[in-house]
Amino acid sequence: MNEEDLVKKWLAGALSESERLSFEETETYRKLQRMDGILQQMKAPDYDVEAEEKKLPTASQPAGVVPIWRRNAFLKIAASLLLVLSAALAIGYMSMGDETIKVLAATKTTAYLPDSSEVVLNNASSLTYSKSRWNKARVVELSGEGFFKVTHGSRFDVKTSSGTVTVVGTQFNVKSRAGYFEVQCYEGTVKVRSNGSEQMLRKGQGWRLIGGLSAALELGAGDGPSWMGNESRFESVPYGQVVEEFKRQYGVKVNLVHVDVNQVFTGSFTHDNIELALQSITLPLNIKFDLEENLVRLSGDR
Amino acid sequence: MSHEKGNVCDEGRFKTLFRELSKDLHDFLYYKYGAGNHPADIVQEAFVKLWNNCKNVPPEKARAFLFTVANNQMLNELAKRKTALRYQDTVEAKRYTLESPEFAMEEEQYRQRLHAALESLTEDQRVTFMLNRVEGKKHQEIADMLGIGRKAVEKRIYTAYKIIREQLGDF
Repeated sequence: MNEEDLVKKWLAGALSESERLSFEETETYRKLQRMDGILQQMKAPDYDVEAEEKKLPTASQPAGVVPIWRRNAFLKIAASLLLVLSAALAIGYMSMGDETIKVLAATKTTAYLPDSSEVVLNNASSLTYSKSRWNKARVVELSGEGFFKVTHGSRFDVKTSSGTVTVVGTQFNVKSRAGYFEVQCYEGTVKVRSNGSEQMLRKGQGWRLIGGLSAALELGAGDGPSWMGNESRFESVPYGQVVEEFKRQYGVKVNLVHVDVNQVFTGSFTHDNIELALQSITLPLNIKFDLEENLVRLSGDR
Repeated sequence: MSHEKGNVCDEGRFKTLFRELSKDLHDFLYYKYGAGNHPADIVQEAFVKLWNNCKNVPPEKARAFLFTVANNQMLNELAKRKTALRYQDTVEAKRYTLESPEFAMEEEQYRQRLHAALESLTEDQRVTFMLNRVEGKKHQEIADMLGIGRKAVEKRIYTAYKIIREQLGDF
């Protein structure tokens, strides 16, 4: 008897005694045993027949009369409908065919697209895509910053106000803020088109456009952008952009006095501790800071 | 199951049916659609529908009636809210270990692969396979439950096994 027949018979519990003994010597059997062991742990939860029976409509109720608990069932349905509705509203679901996910300041959100691609949105970012047209074209519009893990399949476009990113591979970060456009590729290949120019980015490469000037970037170690690790990291970025990012992360206002927003900053700040973050972005540049409620004052020494 | 002429409007008969069939129905829904979809509630609703239609359903048709009604009800629910299928590891608590970290990690990988493989099966393949492997149901029992032939059950279980085996790779 070949292996297929043996396994089939074993699954049917129909092996003869001698067949069983020899089958139990095989590697296939050992693997089956292991699988069965883990499967047992996925057993359906205990179903208490007696308890469930008590929930049934009782004896004296003739068919056709709506038992009281049926009305409860209706309430249950109504309540769960309400829950589903409010949950849908909460994530900004729109029934127009276009689904918009908007992330407000001081929250990071993971969004799942219809093909189960994953987008982690940074603070103050939003993502729009058409649910109804998704099957024809995978296009999302991004304003702000997001990290994409794209499921394998047809072409995937991320449109921003500064350019379009077309995915050829899988994982990348797009940052599109006022006067700032940056793409970092963490896995696979990404094509960036902006103002008529085109770049191919491979794993570990990035590309940036600030105020009309573009530059290639080398990415450090790590599987994703720094902000996903609750930290914003900058390399030779104009100070004004750093301050903007700081405002988005902490949802505060910032007043600048005698601070040169064009000077270049390299460093990082944490998203968890505003004092520490302020120190990180001020000390290296000899800037003083005052922190009140929701207002930060940064003053240079000129 | 009694095969007397008549219908299931008799309360005693109805209760007997509940005791005979409710657990099978529950397990069927669980393995087919996962834990997040309240299989126990759907079982209740299916039996209420049976009770309300008791005049039209002869006892020997009750099983088919219940499985069909429950399955449709579940599909309606699912259409309303697409929920990802998720199995609970019921023995989560037992995961204290005296095992080496390497073994624990390997075990975890195995578990994840198996989960992924199960989720990649069609619903029909999964429910058939799980009823056989986990609930220990015989091929014929499953065939009766699903209203299909014994051969079809055998084929589904083996196909499911092949797919899982393939996805487990070296494990």
